[in-house]
Amino acid sequence: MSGGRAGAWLAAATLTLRAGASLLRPGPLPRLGPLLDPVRGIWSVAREAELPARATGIIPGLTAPVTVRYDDRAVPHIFAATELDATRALGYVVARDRLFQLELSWRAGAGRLTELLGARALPMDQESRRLGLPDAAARRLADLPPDSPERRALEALSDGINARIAAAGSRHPFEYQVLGVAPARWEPVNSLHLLGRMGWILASSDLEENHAAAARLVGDAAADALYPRESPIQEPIQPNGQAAPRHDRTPLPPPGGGSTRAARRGTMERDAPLEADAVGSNNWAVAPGRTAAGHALLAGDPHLELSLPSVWYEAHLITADGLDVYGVTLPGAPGMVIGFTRDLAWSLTNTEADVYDRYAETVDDPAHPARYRVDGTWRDLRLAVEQYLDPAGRVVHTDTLRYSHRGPLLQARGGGWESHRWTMLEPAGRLTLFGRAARAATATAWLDSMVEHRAPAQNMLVADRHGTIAIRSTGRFPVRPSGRGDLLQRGDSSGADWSRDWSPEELPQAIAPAQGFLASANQQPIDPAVEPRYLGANWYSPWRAIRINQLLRADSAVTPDAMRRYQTDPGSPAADLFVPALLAAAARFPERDSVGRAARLLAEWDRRYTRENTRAVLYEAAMRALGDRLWDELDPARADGAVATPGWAVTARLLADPANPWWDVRATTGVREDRDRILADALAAGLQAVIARHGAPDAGGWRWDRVRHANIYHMLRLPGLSALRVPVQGGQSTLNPSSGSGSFGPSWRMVVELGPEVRGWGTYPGGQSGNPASSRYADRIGQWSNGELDTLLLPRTPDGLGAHAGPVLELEPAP
Amino acid sequence: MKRRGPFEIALLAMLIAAGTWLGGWWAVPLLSAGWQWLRPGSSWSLGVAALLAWGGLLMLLPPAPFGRLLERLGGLVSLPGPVLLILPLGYALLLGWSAARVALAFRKAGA
Repeated sequence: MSGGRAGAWLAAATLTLRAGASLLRPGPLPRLGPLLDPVRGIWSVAREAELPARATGIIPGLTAPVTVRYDDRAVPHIFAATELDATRALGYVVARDRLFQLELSWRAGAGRLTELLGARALPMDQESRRLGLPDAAARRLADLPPDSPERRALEALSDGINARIAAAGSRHPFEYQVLGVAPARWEPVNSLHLLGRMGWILASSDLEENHAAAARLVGDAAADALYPRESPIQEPIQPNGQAAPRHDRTPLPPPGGGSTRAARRGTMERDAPLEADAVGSNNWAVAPGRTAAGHALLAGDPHLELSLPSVWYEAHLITADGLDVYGVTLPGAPGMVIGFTRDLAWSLTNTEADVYDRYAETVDDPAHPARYRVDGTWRDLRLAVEQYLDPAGRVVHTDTLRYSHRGPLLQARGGGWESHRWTMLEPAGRLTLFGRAARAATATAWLDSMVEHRAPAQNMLVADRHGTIAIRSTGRFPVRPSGRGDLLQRGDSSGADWSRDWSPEELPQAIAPAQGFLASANQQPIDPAVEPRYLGANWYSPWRAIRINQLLRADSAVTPDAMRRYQTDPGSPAADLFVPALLAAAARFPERDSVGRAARLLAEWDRRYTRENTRAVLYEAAMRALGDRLWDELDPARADGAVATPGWAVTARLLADPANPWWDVRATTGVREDRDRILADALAAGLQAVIARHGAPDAGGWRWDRVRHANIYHMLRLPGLSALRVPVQGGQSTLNPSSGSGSFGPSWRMVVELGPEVRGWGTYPGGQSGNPASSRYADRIGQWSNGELDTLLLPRTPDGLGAHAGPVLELEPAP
Repeated sequence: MKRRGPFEIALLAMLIAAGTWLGGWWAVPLLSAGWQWLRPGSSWSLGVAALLAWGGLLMLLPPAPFGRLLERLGGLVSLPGPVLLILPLGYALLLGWSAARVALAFRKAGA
């Protein structure tokens, strides 16, 4: 074969390969030609990265032109004639900055990620669909009359998003290029899908499973105490008149034999539970009488999964018909979820109430049920066949879903079938409540506007310019005939169904409290001594609530800057409680060198999770070792599945009872350990573990900022597009909580002063743009890590930004 | 094989760049093959023209965002960002060359 002919064959092979790889998808890779094309391919996202100084756009449905003026933080200030026009513009600008996030969010809620990511996303899709999330979203949309404000808002948002998709043409965001797919058209139901998924994150619970798993091992009385309906430390949201937290020091019932009542049941596979007390949210407000300037102050920092781009998008809506609201929105949902107006400010924390119940059903066919029995008669299950498609439209899996009158019917892990009833799957509050409430002028009017909110239930804190601060745990709280929701209910009787909901007057709330401040941090909202009815169980240990209240009780002249500093305060009431106990226990064993050494090192700690401290790592290791020893009765291997670790508030209750059988380690036969022995052992074991992992105490490896980090992952968990190992000041149970994988934390921090001219400060970990080529992709992470906040600008006109003015986007109605 | 002069390569590069701008990546094999059919010569020079065309188009991108993009993409594969420029440039070079070489073979076979 001649050299020329060989070259031709080589060229032909190369061309075939290139063209083939360009036209077809080589395995998991995208088509190379479109990907590498310098005009439309992946490089083109650099062209879309920054906003041009002036741009125009067309949105069908606009009733009048809209001016969007960006400030120097890339926050759009949207000046529109009406709220619906502002919503259309919001859809447009969010889609410009966050289109892929929008797509991923709605698909996660709709159970249609496989159509984008292939079969690897099937487990998550199955979870969403089996929970009934897309079914509930579809029913909710169908229930909205065509001219209802909710439907019009959803359609307006869709108008804006789709206008942006059309305007972008083939210039797709980065992730679409990598995946080799194009954006799907946005439908109004998509907003409901993403809100459903958010509800799953915020308002699901596995109380029944926790309780049942523990009861199988240690009996019902012990399980009741491990996951108590009444938090052992009371520092409630609704002030109870106490000047300090109230501790329950009564003895914990000892571990008993396994319960016969708790049948071996379980439901869907869930992710491993997060470390106890690891995440949550904070908000607090201070009345004018306790602030330096005499104006009400409000702070809020919802804690969610950290991601790039952020779960939040910052915007300011100003309309000619009187709306003027600044805050953060969930991309793909209308309205500002947390924010402020010129009259008031509000922030939310999750209520953590039990709004999710499971019912053991009697079915006609254990393998393929079609009917279930209630009150002695058989009822038909509603069946739905679900198909999961891959990006090419091929069916990758088929499921048959079943619904009883209570909700989705799911097969329990241990056998049998359970109905799941959950407030998120039932008629919800109006989507436009936040928009309506943003027109309120007073705190009480704002709360009244939000009273129809159903799910996910939130602790809604508000402060106004008149000096009123108020909070209400707002949402649908069902009343159970059995009085409890943490146990599996019998499904064969309609008498087990929820009888009614808590009325607005019954909700935990406080308006202008005498103490002059209010705080919520996911703790039990109301003191059971005030309201004994069941609202939930296994509450977050109230360490963050205690710390906020400590700080606010101690400061009678609070400033906005103090509010900011408190958000990353390194103090830990948990450490304040447990460190002295560990040291006192160690002192009882002077003969044990390892215990003495560990105690000396721990005693050097000021119990503050500052970045530079070198002892928090020892405390945390000792507490982990303590948990392993203390809760050995809950060994997952014995439980045939995960058993949730009881909260540290339960451990705190045990501290008062040094001889309680829970302290005894069952594996050590012939020895009965007591509290101090276990605490000392844990301290020594913690030291050993820390040295093994981080080296000698003062060799540098114990510095907190080398040990604990926030990890902010890109939505597709691509490391190059993530911000990993971000140092944080805080640890488990501090106001700036960080534990486990470091992928949860404060997702938006805001401080607002309600003076004659409202002033706001805020930031979130990320940036406004989801485009990794943009200077706004991750520009706020350093500031967030340092606990700093930006001044939030509140112009009254498009020209009101002065030196902070940025690009302009003029949006016009379709001709 | 007849060598092509710098003027011809530059002209070809501009043609391929315009074709890519207007029609997409397909412009590279189509124009390379078409040119080779009409004016037989070095196939490599057509590959070089394609490389220059795509290099020029990449230079039209705003430098700061392009730099950030390269840096982040480099982070994905643990390589310095600029190394990734090999991908589009090498792709254009090989695509232009191989299309031209195949076109030349067909032309010879037909002659």
